[in-house]
Amino acid sequence: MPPVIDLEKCIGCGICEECMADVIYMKEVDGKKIPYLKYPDECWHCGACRQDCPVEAITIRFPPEMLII
Amino acid sequence: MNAVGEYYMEERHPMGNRAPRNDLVFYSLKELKEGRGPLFIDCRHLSDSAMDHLSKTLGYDKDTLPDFFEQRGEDLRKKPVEIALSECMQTGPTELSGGGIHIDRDCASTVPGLYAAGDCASNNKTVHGATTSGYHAGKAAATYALKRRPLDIDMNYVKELCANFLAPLERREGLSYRQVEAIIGKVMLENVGPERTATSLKLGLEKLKKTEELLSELKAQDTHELMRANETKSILQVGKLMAQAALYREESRFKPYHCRLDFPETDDENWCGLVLIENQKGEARLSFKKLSY
Repeated sequence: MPPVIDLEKCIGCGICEECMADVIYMKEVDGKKIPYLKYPDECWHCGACRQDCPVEAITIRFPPEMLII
Repeated sequence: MNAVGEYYMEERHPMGNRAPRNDLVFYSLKELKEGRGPLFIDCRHLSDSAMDHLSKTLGYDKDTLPDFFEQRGEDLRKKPVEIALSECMQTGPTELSGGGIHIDRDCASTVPGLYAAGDCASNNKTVHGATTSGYHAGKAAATYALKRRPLDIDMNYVKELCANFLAPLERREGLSYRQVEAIIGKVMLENVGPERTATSLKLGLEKLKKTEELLSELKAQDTHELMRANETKSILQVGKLMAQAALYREESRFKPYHCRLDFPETDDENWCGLVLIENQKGEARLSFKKLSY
């Protein structure tokens, strides 16, 4: 499941866009750059985005099937 | 621990739970196949300091593993945690060596000027292997580069390679990479899996060759899918090489990594060594290199 990005904390630096599974992209909304999950089902929960986010805006969550089965 | 509470490794192997990695996988696989799953890892016997160390280092290999345990409600101190098997096939006999780009002591491949290090090479995998051999490969590559004059590159060939790479994007319609990968995955699992025979491997190769014909129909909707489509081509190529190498090696070794039902014994006299694969005009040419210890 894709990471949860807290847009209140996010400063639009774009570091998370370097996601090596090419899941996260930046888009411009009201003149501000914000990240979004363009290919959410390709996230494999490596945690790199969370590690590199300078303001700790990212939380990792696992999909329900991985938590139950 | 299996589902009937047996610490099965203690029964199966003289080294018990400290048995070599391939044996842990092999006997766990056996437990599952014989219906004594699910399987668990039991950490309840660990001392407080050992448990603290484990908790602290659990996130080193996979950053999100502690989160996974927490979100699942696992507690290693209090209850066994259920496990699944992920490495019924490994690229090599050990974490440090096995399949990959064959290199010499300077990390040079058989292509002049091409160096390989870490997990893609036949030696020096794992983090410490990758960092040290990467450093060495970098130095060797730089030394080589300093002595070379610029190459004459065939730009027509380059154009051809680029056109092939971009083709899925240019096509108006075609197959999704997911569809083709699903076929490869199933063929590899069923015919090139932990237990293999000449029959299964030849059948697998036949199916992979048919799948290869689909590659020229791959359609990518955007550059992301273009990346995936080209990865699919590589995945297929690696799958073919795996099946060919497995067919060539007529013995079993480091079960379950290479388990030939038709050649169940390990034959050190004839097969202690490497299966080398060369690209001869698009076809794989296999040979054997004996190793001695």
